[in-house]
Amino acid sequence: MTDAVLPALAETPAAPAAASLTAKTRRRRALAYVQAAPMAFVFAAFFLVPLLLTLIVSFWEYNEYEIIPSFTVQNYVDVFDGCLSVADPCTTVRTYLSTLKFCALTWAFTLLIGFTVAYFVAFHVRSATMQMALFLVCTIPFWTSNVIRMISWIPLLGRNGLVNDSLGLGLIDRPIEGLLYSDFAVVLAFVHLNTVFMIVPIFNSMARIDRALIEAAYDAGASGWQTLWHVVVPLTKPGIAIGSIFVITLVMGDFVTVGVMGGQQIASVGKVIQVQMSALQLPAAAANAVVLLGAVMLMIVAMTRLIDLRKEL
Amino acid sequence: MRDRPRSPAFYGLAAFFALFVAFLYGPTLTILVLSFQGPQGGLTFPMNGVSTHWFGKLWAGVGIVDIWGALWRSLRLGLVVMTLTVGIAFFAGLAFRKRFAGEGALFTVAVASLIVPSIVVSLGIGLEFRLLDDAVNAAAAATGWGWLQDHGTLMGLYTSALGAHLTWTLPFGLLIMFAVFNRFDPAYEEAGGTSGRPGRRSCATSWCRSSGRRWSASPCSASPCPSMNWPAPARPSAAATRCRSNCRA
Repeated sequence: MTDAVLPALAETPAAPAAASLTAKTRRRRALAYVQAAPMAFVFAAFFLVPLLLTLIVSFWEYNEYEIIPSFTVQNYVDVFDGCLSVADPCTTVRTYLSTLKFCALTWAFTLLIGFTVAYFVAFHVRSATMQMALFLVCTIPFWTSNVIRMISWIPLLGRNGLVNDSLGLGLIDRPIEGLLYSDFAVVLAFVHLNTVFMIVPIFNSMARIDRALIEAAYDAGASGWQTLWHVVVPLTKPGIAIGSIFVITLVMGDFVTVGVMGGQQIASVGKVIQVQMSALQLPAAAANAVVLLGAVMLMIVAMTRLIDLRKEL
Repeated sequence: MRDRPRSPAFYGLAAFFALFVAFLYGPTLTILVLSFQGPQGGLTFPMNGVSTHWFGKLWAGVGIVDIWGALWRSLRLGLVVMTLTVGIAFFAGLAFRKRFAGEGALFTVAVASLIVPSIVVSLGIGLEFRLLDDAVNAAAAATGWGWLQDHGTLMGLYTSALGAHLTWTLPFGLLIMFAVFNRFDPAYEEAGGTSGRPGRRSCATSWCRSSGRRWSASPCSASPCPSMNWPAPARPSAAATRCRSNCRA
């Protein structure tokens, strides 16, 4: 890294310095492996091996009591059973469509809200202290458990909840059913929980934009909208992409939010896997997990096609 | 731009921000208010009297779940996860400042661990431990060794659950360490290394500098030193203690 400047700093005769430098470099290299080893071990034991086992077990057989090592594609056949019919889509296709719908809606709302909030804090708040304070205000709710934040919608959205009660003061003659335990409630909770994952990376990208560029756009006669669309948005793309990846993977794999806010009535891919896990149909759950992982990876590859993330990190 | 008067857009955006904050905090605040509900009240408005009845019930531990046991378990797991995350991520951050084979792979895995849906990772860890249990049982049956019999399960709070949490916290820890170390001027580390003591001491030096304090060549004996709450060595050596006392506010 910066070893090359060392001899000059040390002001020692050239030849011994070079010899000790190689020894030193070797020691530094060895140290790096020791320092990185714990993290590598954790990811190997709790991420790579589990994913590999999921892939392997998805080809196994199972009965009520045990899972049996073998090689069968039956689990995958079950996942896609009858999915070729367009008129009457199978459970898997319907579940994925429902999850994708949540995904698209949540993504659109969190992007709009997250971008607007980050834009306000990054470009319209003038003092750095105030920026940091407002940024913290946006992230503090993230310190609480997701389930608590979900449950807190129940007194608001219920049949006799605050929303129905306040609308009841002359606006509607009977309570709106289906505020709670509906698609609406699920999307609302997703937006509530996940907007922070959009705000943080977008704000981070915006903070790196050279303010002289905005000034130049203004001096060149661009309107506020033109500056926003032609300067700020393109430069914020990496943040948007990172935030979108977070939101999409969180929504695609979710089973708690859909369960709680949907009153355990709405299907989602994560929920299917969770139900199969608790029924000990592990190979079936594994096959579903592999399909889900494939779907999520496809979405992410499609997004990284739009933007070269590696360049930005 | 900064000296220009505020545009109408500012006020619109400020209003939007205020609405967003209300949206973010409102529901949680209603829960806070409702927790002071009277004994007859439930999770709905209007309030049925004001009391600390429900806190009393919680304190007494009445309910289906053992609330104090659960809280204590969560707290202990949280502390263990925190300590391990900070420790592991700190040293991995140091490793990434040098070159090592597989650094790209490790970084990719860390990012992938954030991206792969948690249900998939959880299922995988569950499978892994189930297969481990099966293997231990098979070994117990095959060997007949006493200490292997009736081992129960390897799954637990500090094995599978801890690992599952680490796959989610370590990537964040690593990214934060990158951000912190990027603000370090590598010259400090080098300077610490060339002046004789690599490792702990140069680390202390660069920590001292990066936190805006002054590093003096001689230890300060008169005034107590600012507390350095970074991972301390297991056995603080005399040199480490001395080098801490070189850091002045």
